[in-house]
Amino acid sequence: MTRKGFRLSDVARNSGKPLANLNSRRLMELPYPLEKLREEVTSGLKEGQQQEYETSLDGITASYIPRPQNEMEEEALVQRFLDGLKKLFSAQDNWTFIQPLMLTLNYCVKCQTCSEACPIYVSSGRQEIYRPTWRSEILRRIYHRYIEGGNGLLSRLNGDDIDLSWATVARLAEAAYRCTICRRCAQACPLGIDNGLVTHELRKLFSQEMGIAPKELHEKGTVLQLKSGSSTGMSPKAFLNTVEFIEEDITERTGLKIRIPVDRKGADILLIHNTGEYMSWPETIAAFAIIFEKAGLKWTLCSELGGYDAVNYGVWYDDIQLAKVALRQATVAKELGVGKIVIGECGHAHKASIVVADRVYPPDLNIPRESCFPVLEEIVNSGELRLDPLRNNFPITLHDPCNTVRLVGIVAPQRRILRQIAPQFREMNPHGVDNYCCGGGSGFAIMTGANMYDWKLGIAGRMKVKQVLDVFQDVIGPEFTKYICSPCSNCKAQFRDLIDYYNLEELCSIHYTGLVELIVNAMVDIPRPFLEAAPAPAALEFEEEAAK
Amino acid sequence: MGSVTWLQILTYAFMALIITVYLARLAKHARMPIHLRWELYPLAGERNRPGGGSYLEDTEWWSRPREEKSFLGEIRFMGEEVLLFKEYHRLNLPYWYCVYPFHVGAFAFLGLITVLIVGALTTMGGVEVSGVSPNLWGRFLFYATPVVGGTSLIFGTIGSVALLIGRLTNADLKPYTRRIEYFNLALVLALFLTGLVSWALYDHVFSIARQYVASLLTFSGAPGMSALTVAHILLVLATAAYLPFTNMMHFFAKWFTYHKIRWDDAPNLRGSGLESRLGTLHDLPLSWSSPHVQALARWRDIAQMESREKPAPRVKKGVTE
Repeated sequence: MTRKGFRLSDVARNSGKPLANLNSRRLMELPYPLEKLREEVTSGLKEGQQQEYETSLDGITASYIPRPQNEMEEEALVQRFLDGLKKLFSAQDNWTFIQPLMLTLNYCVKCQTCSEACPIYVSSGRQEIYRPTWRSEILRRIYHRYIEGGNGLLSRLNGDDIDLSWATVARLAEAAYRCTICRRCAQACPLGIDNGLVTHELRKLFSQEMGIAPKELHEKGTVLQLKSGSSTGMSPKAFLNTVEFIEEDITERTGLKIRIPVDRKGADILLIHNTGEYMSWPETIAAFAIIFEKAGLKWTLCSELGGYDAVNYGVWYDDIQLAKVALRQATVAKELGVGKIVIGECGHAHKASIVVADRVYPPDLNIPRESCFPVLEEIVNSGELRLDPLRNNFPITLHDPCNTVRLVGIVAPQRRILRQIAPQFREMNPHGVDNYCCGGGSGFAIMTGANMYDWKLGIAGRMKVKQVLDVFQDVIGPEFTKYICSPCSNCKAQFRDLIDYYNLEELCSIHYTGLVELIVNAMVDIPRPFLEAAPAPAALEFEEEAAK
Repeated sequence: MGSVTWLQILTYAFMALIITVYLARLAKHARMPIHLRWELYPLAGERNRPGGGSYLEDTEWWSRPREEKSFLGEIRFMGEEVLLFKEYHRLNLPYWYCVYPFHVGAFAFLGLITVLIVGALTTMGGVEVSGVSPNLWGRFLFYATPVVGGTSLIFGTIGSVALLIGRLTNADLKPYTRRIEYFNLALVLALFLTGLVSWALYDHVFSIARQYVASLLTFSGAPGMSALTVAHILLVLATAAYLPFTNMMHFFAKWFTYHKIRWDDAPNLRGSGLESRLGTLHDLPLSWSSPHVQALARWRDIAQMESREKPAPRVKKGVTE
């Protein structure tokens, strides 16, 4: 329910004070054993940072926007915003999204049906600034007043109450990073209006026109990826070393001797992972290699710049960067002469490569791209891997990455695999295309910012924590080992942080993993459990005892 | 009946204006460039995909024949939306209680215009439209018209009032409602209210309305009408011409938001018509100002820059280096 005295025009208030107070008592309650948790989501900024960066939306800074030094600087920034706004509404400058944007701005009736679909709005205790229509309505009024113009009466009728000041621009820039673009709001809209798109378009305006974007996405994201080969900074040489390390690790953990193919010309499949996996979850890379080799696929990894990192942060904030990264990946695949690109367990890379960038590929770079999940399902169904589901005989739930399900339409293969290999698989509520975002979407998983960390876990990820606790309530005690299957690198990063932030491993013995690790964990050819925390089945324990 | 009146001339002029404006709005949206894919699952027309999946659940989807979308599935979804407002009922019941009668009123009003035209044509064809008509069709039209018209005017008035009160009092709606949206609702309320009172006081069976429609079709003089009825006709015409400039045109926009965005999963296949249409867009200039864009003049330049084509081998004195 909207707070008394709330006005949209407050966005232009020049007091510098945040528009929202993230009081812990207002946050959505969590189930047992966190029902009494009252954590603080505070700014946590140091004195110098508070003066240096814009935090007037909610005390949080995602984009590190420096405060202008004087009025002239403010005016210049506002003018640049206006220039960008004009381009956003020009069919030539914004052909990529002008049609959906105009439909959303022109025809939303603000019935607020979308509000309850938004996990951030609900989790925050229904803070007005996180309502899906809040930023859209502000943008709409600015558009009517400053772009459409018109005579005084029409302008007044259309809502001329929002002044385009630096305060407005700065708050909008931050508000664009309080939405994960999971598009659950769009799914709930009976008219097909897409307030998630408005977030995307605002981010784009700030990045493409004003050069304002969180450094984790731009400077240390797409720019670094295009320059060094990966948003992690991993060079081709480091990549090759890591692959070698993973080969050794496979032998150590499983006894299998596997040579991971790299730069194999003419392979059927170029498999591209999120490079974060090489750094944080090399077992995912290892599991893919084991499965693909056991299945006898003609596949390869690639050590060329652009060939070993599937991430494409451009999909979240900048169409030009999206196109650059996608075309770089396609170029590498073309040079290798592979039959197709298969995207590993990375949700946003699925969306970027297979769907959103689909219409920026010129004919010669339009290399076919597909998801790893149907490929894995074919392998599992083929019987090439000898699988014993009892090796995964512990409670497992599936987290659906928004980018894989609602935004790409890959829903069933991962479930059919889990039903074959995990006897205690259970669905969260809601799931599939109706899922909730993990709270790390649209870049939040990799953004820590000056004080973004608490916000993305305490608010953005809160609904997912509730879902996880709800689905495991019958086995919630720490004596039951439980796994969240999260087949997406960014979602895994968010789960890693959520489990740590809410102490879920100690309180409930909740762990996370990818899908391929669960498949390998079920393989009878592997002598020991592949998952570190997975309880060994009785037969395995017996064999180990006997071996000793 | 006398000669053609100023009201009839105004009606003709408005009808021409309305058709022009609707076609112009349609053309404006239809002419917008193809956007990047931004579909949202589930797609109503997707067959045999439990849970809302897509053709991307298949390996090598580009080499398989594309399954035809189920037109029936799309129609069923849209039908339930248009007739029942199913999503509003499921997700926002309090709002449904306001918005549903409003739209029942609006749709029934279109029905009223239709039965009035059919009634006028029937009369022109020599069939009496009355309660004692020897012709069954004539009797049916006679009784159907007030049922449809009454439904429209009663529900439309109730819905307009409910929406206006809701927007004025509900704390979630009020801050987001612009003055123009109050004006729009007030305009529609005025339309329904004048129609309702006019019906109740002067034209219980819509016979004057039918005569007026017939006079428009035959270019003959209009029947005598009360000032209130004339005001109602003027409000209908003005609202119909004004509607395309408001967000109430969402019934029209919905075709685009669903068919052209949410359900548009057409892939950019090699050699397809879509591919050639995209080629034109890739030639568009890039005018954004951030440093990382400035080096690029056109979209096509991105592909050229990223393709990093190896330089051709230099040839020196017949020896390839």
